[in-house]
Amino acid sequence: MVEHLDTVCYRFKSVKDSWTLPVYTEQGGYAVWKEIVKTAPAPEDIIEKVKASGLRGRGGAGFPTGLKWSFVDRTAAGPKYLVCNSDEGEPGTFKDREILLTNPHQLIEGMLIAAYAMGMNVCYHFLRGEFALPFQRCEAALAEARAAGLVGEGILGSKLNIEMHNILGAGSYIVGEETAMLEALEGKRAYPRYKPPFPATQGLYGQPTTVNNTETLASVPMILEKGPEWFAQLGTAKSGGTKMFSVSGHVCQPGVFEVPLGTSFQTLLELSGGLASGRSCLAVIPGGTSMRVVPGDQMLSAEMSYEGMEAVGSAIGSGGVIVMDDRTDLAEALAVMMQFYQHESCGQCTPCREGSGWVSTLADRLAQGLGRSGDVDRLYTVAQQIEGRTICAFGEAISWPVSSFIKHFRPQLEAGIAPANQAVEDGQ
Amino acid sequence: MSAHAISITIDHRSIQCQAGQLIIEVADQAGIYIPRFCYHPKLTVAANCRMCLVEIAKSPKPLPACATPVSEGMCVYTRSRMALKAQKAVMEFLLINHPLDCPICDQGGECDLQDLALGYGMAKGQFDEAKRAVEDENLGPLVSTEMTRCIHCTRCVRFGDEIAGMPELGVMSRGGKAYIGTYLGTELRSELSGNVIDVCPVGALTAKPSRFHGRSWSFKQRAQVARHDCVGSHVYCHVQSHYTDAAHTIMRVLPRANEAVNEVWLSDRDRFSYEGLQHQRLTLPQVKRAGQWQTVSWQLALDLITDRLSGLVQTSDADQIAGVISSNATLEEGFLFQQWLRTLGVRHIDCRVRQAGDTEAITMSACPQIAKTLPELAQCSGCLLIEAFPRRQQPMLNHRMRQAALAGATVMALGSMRQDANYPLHVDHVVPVSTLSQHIAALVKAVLSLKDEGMPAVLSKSLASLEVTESIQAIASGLIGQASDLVILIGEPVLRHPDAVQIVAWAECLANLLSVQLSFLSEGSNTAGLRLSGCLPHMGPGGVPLSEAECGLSARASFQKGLKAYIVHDVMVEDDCMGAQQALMALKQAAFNVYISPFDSAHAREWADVMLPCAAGYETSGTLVNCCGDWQTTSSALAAADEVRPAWKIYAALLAWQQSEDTMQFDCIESVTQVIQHATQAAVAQGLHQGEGLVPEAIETTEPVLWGVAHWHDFRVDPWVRQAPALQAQHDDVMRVRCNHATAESSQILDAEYVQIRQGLTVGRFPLVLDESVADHTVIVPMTCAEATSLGLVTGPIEMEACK
Ligand SMILES: Cc1cc2nc3c(=O)[nH]c(=O)nc-3n(C[C@H](O)[C@H](O)[C@H](O)COP(=O)(O)O)c2cc1C
Ligand code: SF4
Ligand code: FES
Repeated sequence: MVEHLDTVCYRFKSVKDSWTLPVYTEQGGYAVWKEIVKTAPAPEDIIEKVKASGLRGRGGAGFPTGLKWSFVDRTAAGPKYLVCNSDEGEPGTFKDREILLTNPHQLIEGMLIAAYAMGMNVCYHFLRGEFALPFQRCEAALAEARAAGLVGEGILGSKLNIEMHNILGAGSYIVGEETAMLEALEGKRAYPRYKPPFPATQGLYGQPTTVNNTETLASVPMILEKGPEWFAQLGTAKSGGTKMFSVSGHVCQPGVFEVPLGTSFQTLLELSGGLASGRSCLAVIPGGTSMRVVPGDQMLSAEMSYEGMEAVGSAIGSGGVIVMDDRTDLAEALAVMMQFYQHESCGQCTPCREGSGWVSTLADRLAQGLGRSGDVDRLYTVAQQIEGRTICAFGEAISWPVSSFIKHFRPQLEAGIAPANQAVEDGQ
Repeated sequence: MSAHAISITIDHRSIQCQAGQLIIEVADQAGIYIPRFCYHPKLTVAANCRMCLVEIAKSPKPLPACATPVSEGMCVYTRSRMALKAQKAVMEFLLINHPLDCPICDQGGECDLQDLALGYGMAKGQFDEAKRAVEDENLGPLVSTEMTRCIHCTRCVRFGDEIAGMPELGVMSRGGKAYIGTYLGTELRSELSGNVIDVCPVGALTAKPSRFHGRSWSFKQRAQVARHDCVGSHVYCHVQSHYTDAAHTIMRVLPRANEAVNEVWLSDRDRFSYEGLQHQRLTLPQVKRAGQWQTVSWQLALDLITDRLSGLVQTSDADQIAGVISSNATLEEGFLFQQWLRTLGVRHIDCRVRQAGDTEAITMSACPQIAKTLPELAQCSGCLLIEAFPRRQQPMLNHRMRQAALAGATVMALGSMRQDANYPLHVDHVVPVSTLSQHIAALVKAVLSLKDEGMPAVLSKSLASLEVTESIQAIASGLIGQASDLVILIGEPVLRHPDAVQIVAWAECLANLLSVQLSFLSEGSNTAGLRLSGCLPHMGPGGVPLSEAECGLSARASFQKGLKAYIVHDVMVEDDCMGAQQALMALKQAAFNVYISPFDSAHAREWADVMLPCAAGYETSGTLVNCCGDWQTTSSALAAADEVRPAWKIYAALLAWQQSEDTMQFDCIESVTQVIQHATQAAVAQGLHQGEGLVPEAIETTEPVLWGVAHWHDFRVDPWVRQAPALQAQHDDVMRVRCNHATAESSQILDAEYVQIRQGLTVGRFPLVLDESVADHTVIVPMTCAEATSLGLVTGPIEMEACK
């Protein structure tokens, strides 16, 4: 039905024991890595290829990966680190988990290539605390790869040393923020750092560090195997390659789908079984709850690409697509999201610590129909007061949903103002 | 980042600065105020309060001035629309959960949040919900908490981590539930804990002793110098000025910023000792008549003293009189004290009351000073502590040691107790206290062999039979590694050691080998100053050595001898003297004793014939010379009670009497200071301060014997601090004998709750606690309690047994 469905990271979706080394090698895995170890190509060439592929960070911000890699000074003294971000904490997102379960070796290969390209000798793979099975799979895969001489000291008899460690988190959303992750790796509390300095110059233990999302890194072996042009052409002119979307909410068959960027939302909806019969699409959050909500009708004509989502005022984010049909109580939906953010704020900086709770209180009140006059406007201003003033992008993660919900669905929220309070307002 | 000059603009003003500086630093230097809470120039940048957000051209978002480095051509706007909006927003967030009850908050009037809310907040907020309440924790007797007021700036947390080197406070929980606490529910124990009160910008952490006792705006602020250690931290005394009934009280003491001394910090002892000035004060001149104390006029008291002393000089001779003065007396007090007594013909004058043996030879040869300034000390590359424990005894000096150690200095220690250091030590070698001198000699031997220049014959003979242990070897290689910037610090307990002269002699030998100058920590706040003022039996004003005929006895020798009269200035003999029992006996058999002190003493009431109340520390003007040789002169912070006189005036009057002059030679304190200054300058010009050098004697490895060490806990060092209730409450369990397991085992007291310490004919009974930081064969005996007084320990051999 859809061309190139599940071709890159999710290609072994239904291959038996795909997470084991024999199966992965049988499918042609580690060929790229072995070739690199054998021929020792110029690292810059690899980075150029990643640039040419159009690969952008799949962790949320969509930063061009090749460009990010080129920021690391390969000649800097001391150790340099690669960190793979498998924290996957963004509500509505559950695609990295699939990679970890079905394709851990491709991720390992991707990490090895990235480390080689940036002259790094240590990779930390950070998995969210709840990922027990994925962690086991990754540990097993790493052990296999190490035994096969693909990872560790003197890789495949060469002089190349790349160490790799899987680390299980302790369960918090904020640790997914890259600098918070670095703090956590250093054994500290997961508090995001103020940037600059950026990780590329002063990251883990003050050394040059690159943090990439699981999907980003797992895409790399295929890019090099089949060529950057192949990858780029899978997607649109501005968004190269494929993207995994985890579709949830009011669809008949929620799940993870890897589709070429530029695929229409309609197609994605069909892949996930469509809406229940007789239902219409009220709203969609296309990239995890931190991205802006889009009214259903706009989504139905939109394409799932970086530019396509920008056109409807939102973003691909982490690829967590949350579909809400016309039965949804949007005030409650917003309140639930805001409860999440107030619970997950690390509490380090003032606007987020104080604002997240306040926003949540207001959203809760509206959801319960106990809103006071002016609550919707207050909700809006408070969220605006947070935005752009926090240490990390968590501030935006609170503010964007609020402002977009209010922009598109103000009447539904106003309905949460208690009649008694409305009467007061009308009477004035 | 390179430090090259660049230019930026702040609020359209062009400003020259260094690349890499933070915007807030540049703005501060230019006198442009940017509001802040979490930023503290002495702490790492946290950038968490977001109060300092400013607009920067070309940045879509406002950026924190405390964390953003300047770059060439940067345009900063601190009062633009964007900046003001951000500041207002942050202020609103800070206030929503903060109680708005400044009138009942102790911080009111000196609260950063209150001030900045006025300058940068909105008249009215939009918050209409219930506020957060946070449970308080008991942090002990010094720091009071009201955690609902906390704004989570983490200054207190960073202070603990970075400055105190003792992470006692931390952030618990997260988001809106985040709170500051100890987690364990413990009390603060750091010797610098009171500083969290200063760094806290709001009323969350306040001073418990002074809480709710007054408002900051009604206090008068007076500059003074702290009096409990040889660093002499700079302080402000806040004196109540409004209410007549409280006219004589210091309400609190705060650090006075001085980069060369205490930076912006203050030790707890210096911060909270002021409370002691309100207790057990001597307020009226009194004389004992037929065993009864009677209040008399000053005139009468001074007449009596002059008469009795002159009588004594005539009937027997002036050698039957000794003067003993506290090492906390000021330069001027010391000078006039000895001037008066020497005019009278008295030779036995001493400010060293805690010696086991004679230390004149040491004072002859070395200035009681450290060879570097404190900021230099923080940059030294290596340091050897010999029986020096600065963490608790000289906290602000320890702070510099910590800075040095964190910057990579090799710090090593050799002493009878393990260091309680808040920084990593390279070697911490603990040796039985009776063997201290031989270990230092062994160190000389080890250094000599490492230097491989061949051993001078004299030394090689002296050291022939000495054993060099592995730890000594390790210290030696550590010392050799970095001769350039090395500091060898002799702790004040060395001068209380019976082998003090040999310890210092060998240490001097070591220092010579390494081409460094020995550094000395000293007792009290003015040991160096009293030496210059002539309060030693063998040195006159300016520190000029006296001829043999002019030399007198040390304080201890004069007590051992039992003279006919003693003049005791601010020394609580029962608590402050080494060998207190013997001193008390000498006093009791004497015919005439004068006790001049701010503090009353039951013991003094027994042995004294005249008691004169003098002004205490902050109540008097004068000069203290600290361990770096800095003369720190201050004026009195407040007047003492009516009949209490500054000691310098008392001695000036007695001196004038003695010289039978109508007018006083010294009618103002400056005239006194000048005389000493001249004497000192003259002595320095003549090279009198270089000294002769000590001669180390041959030494061999001997078996250690069980020794007791007379120990003054850091909160028990002088009468003043002993009266300070909050400090005493913080360390209420210090009157215990301490020894390690091995010592306890060999003395068969392992399970004993109490032990009896015997030295010669006297005994004392103390509770026992095993402490593995104490060396073998070494027993730490707490001074300043009744049992210690009756034992009257002199550091040296003891017997110890279990008792009920
Ligand atoms: C609050 C917050 C949570 C985040 N959580 C995740 C996450 O769970 N997984 C992830 O890959 N990136 C997460 N990010 C994004 C990372 O900071 C970072 O941008 C990303 O890992 C970079 O990888 P990429 O360039 O491959 O996308 C989060 C960012 C923020 C601000
Ligand atoms: S207690 Fe004071 S210093 Fe500590 S975080 Fe709170 S406001 Fe800051
Ligand atoms: S002072 Fe800059 S963020 Fe707090």
